[in-house]
Amino acid sequence: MSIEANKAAARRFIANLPKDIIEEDRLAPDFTYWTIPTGTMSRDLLTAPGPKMSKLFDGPATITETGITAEGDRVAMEAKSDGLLVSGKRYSNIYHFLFVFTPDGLLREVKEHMNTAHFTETLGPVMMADAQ
Amino acid sequence: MSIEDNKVAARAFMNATVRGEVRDDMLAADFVFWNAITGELPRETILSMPNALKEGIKGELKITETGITAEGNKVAIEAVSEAELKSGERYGNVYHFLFEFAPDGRIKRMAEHLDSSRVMPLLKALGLV
Repeated sequence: MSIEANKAAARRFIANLPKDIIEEDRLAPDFTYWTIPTGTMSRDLLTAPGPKMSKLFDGPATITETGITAEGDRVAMEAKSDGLLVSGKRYSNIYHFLFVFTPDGLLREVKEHMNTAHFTETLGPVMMADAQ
Repeated sequence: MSIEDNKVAARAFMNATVRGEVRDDMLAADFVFWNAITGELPRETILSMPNALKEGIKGELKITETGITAEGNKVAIEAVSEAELKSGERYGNVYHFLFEFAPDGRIKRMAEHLDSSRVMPLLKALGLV
């Protein structure tokens, strides 16, 4: 697929993520999602039924692209998020995502580089409480 | 400058910062550095960083590129680092840098996306926080 097609797919993935919309037919069989706090998460974990992100927020959360760099099968995207957590704290993180695509345009890998200190203070405790 | 020229310059700058070899002519006049903990820092701070690194680190901070993505005037580099602080503490981090270049090939902006929860011991050793 072209660089522009990969950019469009990365943008679509990011727009869907806070809404818990994962388009399984756009993910490679060996798809993984990595963040520093969670480590590498499998395709099965990401596509398991039920809400994951939206239930942690009071109202809609958004991720907004602030910059993009793409080459070959890779798309690097700077972004920021905003949303009010169910704990009452605001989650406003800053990201430099990396997306890696297969030659036929399926998403193989997402790496979510973000401000982990902010995550630990805000979203982290809400995720932990939800998991219990 | 070409994408490949920008990649070469981004790698050279990344390696120069840890070796204390950053040159004034690598940076545009309005260069800005950013990370989530320090916020924006001016070029003067970055040019004096190598000395601070020598003060805070035993030997050299080893930085290894693990991936690169470049387009137009931008270069994104994935990397990992490893070092021993003078305090004896081990320090390592995971990065997704973004470099933006001026048309003359100098670096205009460097955003250091890293594991901010791990960086405090190093920033303290460097006197940046």
